[in-house]
Amino acid sequence: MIRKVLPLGLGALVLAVGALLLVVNLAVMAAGHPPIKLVPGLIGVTDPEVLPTGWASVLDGRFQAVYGRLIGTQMPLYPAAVRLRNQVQFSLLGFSPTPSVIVGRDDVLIERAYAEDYCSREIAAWRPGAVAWASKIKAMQDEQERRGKAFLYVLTPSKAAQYPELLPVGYRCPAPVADRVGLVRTWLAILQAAGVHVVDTTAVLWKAHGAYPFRLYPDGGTHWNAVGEALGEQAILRGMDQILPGRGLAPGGFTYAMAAHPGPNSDEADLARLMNLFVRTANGPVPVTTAQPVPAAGACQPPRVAIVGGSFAIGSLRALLALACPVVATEYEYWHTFTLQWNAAGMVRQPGVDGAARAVTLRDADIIVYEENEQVLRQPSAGQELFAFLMHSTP
Amino acid sequence: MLFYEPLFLFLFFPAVLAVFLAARRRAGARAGVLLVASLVFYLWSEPLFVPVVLATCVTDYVLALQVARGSRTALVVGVLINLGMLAYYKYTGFAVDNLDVLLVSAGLRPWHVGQVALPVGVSFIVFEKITYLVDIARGRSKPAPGLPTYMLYVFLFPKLLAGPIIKYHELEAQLVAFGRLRGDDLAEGFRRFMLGVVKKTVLADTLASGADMAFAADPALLGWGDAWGGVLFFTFQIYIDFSAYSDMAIGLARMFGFRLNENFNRPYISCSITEFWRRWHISLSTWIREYLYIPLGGNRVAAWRRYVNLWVCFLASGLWHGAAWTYVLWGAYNGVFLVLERLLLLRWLDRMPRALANAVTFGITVAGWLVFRSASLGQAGSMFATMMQPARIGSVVGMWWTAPMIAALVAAVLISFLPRVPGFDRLATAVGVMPAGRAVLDFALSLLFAFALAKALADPFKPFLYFRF
Repeated sequence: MIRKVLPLGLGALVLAVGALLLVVNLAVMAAGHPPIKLVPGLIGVTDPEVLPTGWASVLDGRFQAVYGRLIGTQMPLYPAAVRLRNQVQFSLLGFSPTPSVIVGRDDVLIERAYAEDYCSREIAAWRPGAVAWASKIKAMQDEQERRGKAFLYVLTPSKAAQYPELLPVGYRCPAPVADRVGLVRTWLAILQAAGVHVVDTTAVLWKAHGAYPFRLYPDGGTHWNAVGEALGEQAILRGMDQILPGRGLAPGGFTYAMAAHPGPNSDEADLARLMNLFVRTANGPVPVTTAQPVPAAGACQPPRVAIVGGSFAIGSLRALLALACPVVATEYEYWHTFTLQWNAAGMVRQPGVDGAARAVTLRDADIIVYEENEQVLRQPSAGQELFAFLMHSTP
Repeated sequence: MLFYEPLFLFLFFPAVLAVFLAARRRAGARAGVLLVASLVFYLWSEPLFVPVVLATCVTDYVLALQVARGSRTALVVGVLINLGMLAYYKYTGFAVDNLDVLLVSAGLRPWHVGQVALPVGVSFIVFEKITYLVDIARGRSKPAPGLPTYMLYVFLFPKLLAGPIIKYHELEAQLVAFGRLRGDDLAEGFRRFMLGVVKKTVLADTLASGADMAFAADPALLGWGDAWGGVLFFTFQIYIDFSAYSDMAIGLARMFGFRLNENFNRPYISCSITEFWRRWHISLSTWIREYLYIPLGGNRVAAWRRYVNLWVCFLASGLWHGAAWTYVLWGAYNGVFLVLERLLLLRWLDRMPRALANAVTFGITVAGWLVFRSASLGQAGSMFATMMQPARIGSVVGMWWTAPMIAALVAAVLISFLPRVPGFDRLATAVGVMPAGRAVLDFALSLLFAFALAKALADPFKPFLYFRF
């Protein structure tokens, strides 16, 4: 009898242990304590779900629906369950268990939004809006110049666009090749026609393809690696130096060395971490760069720099720290999510944005650097906020 | 509350089972536990509908006493009350929408009615309640010994939301015994329940994502292969999904001492549509035969009327599945083939090699599922047109069949068609009766069940990158 029931007992045991731990956690939470977690928490952001209140929500079933979803997350084994499912799907089927991540060729991870953007580009439909947006960027530049300040537009590259050959086998890319590769060229031509000062780091990276014994993006990350970033930084500093000559902004060089992957906290493994696996193997050595210091030439007149942009802008001014004259730079990530401050001591990240302080910083900045990734060209958002600010604030 | 949701798996089910086992020595206590649990289960899902069902249970119970004394009026009133409930909750919106189309086309003002929320399981409940009255009228069953017994029949939670449709006479004797556990009911029931959870969460949900992807796209932009792919994903999804629900229901019921009839019997190995409907959703097919086809005259009427009745029955079956023209067409389509089979098609199919007859039947079924799954008749038409144009290679829209989808499809194909391989049944039985073979299969099922639980927990978790977390 025992031999007959024992193999089934494993299933019953899992169910019973899960039930017991859930009841314990519900009791712990009812007593006002934080829930017990037997496995480290999960990585990534999810849309928060709030339990509806009131009888109306019970009668129409909204309360039950949300409670039914939330109860699973209260289980001490919830993170383990997520990692188990993910590991099985990834290890057995080579499939990304996280919808926002795609497992490309050579096990390289690609953020889905970038692949979808690349594979759905449609220049004809996008062009009228792009021309209108370029005129607004030019208007921001004109406004800055009218105030005696400078403005620089920076275009950063997408992993899917730089390495489309890494998209997985069978991944449907219905956009014509002319549209996929032509979108950035078209955008640059539109910006040039509008008279915008542009630094195109996508071209910088294209030129560097094959120049290094590795790709310019980490296998497990969505942003460029240290070498790609260093190349981008140099281009940005050169662009700033051209607009504000003699302010000590000319970049130095950089060296790199291959080092063991810095571990799970690195941005270079953000997509790998987002997959929430127990074990991920494709974490090879990555390049680590060292910026070569620039010797001081004459008196220091460092400009005040304000940066508005997306996630690619975050590290892109690390080379500022190697300049002879320390530049004070403040960056507003996606306009309102968080603030980064650069000074001689390094980079300080503060959650959130103080609107009043941002207004002062932008007003006083000698140069505003506005960064867009090619992936958001069809729906720029932070730029719209910057435009509204510059056009409606008093100098 | 669905059987594969964490709330059911880790809270409701263990708690109810524990209390039920504690009360296993007393029939009244067992019945009480099951009735209360079933009411809580349904109240959680449909708090506003439960009072309506309770009220109609009382009317059924009272009318059934009259029906038992031979009152045809009580029978008609009882059936009409139940059909009225179904009509109101399920078909009001559909009827008014179509009426509005006519009114607007005649230049009149449309008749707006508020949205009527469709309670989960209403179609199953109504059909079951009707069997109670009809079985008593036919002298096949006696009125329930008490209202709680009848309520337990109606609300018994394992079969409440998605069947099988249990006729009262099938459960009558067991209801009187009040869920007495026999032999290895617990182990056998749990095995079946685990199988259902695995089929639903691991296979059916994965197949669903393939079908959803294709049916969400504009069919005019789909390629030939993707259109076929989408329909095939759905063909296997609906079988695995629906039979998984039946597995869970049958397994759970057995754990609480009830034996429910099988609802599926390897339908895709059928060699005719007639055979398919003997193997597919058996509880509905038999309901339609016993409670609609036979009252319409059954096989005792003239051939032409038999065919009309048969077709009408399947039209009604289509409408029972959902209030939309696609379901009506699907029912009519199946009815047409059933009539054709009686006229000549069955003779042709019988003369064919079995594999070919199976392939033809499967093709007819797949075309039916295309109509069933489509959101509108227009979508069904466009999709069908694409499927008939092999030259249309490649989708304009992005369609990407992932490795899990392909793996689930392969597994579903094997589950569906392996029984057709000569010797398969003998081999399966031989492995099943060997203690070692059985132990290995059970162990594998337990492992898959553990993974299915993890998947059920994890599936709602869809994290994304947010500004370099």
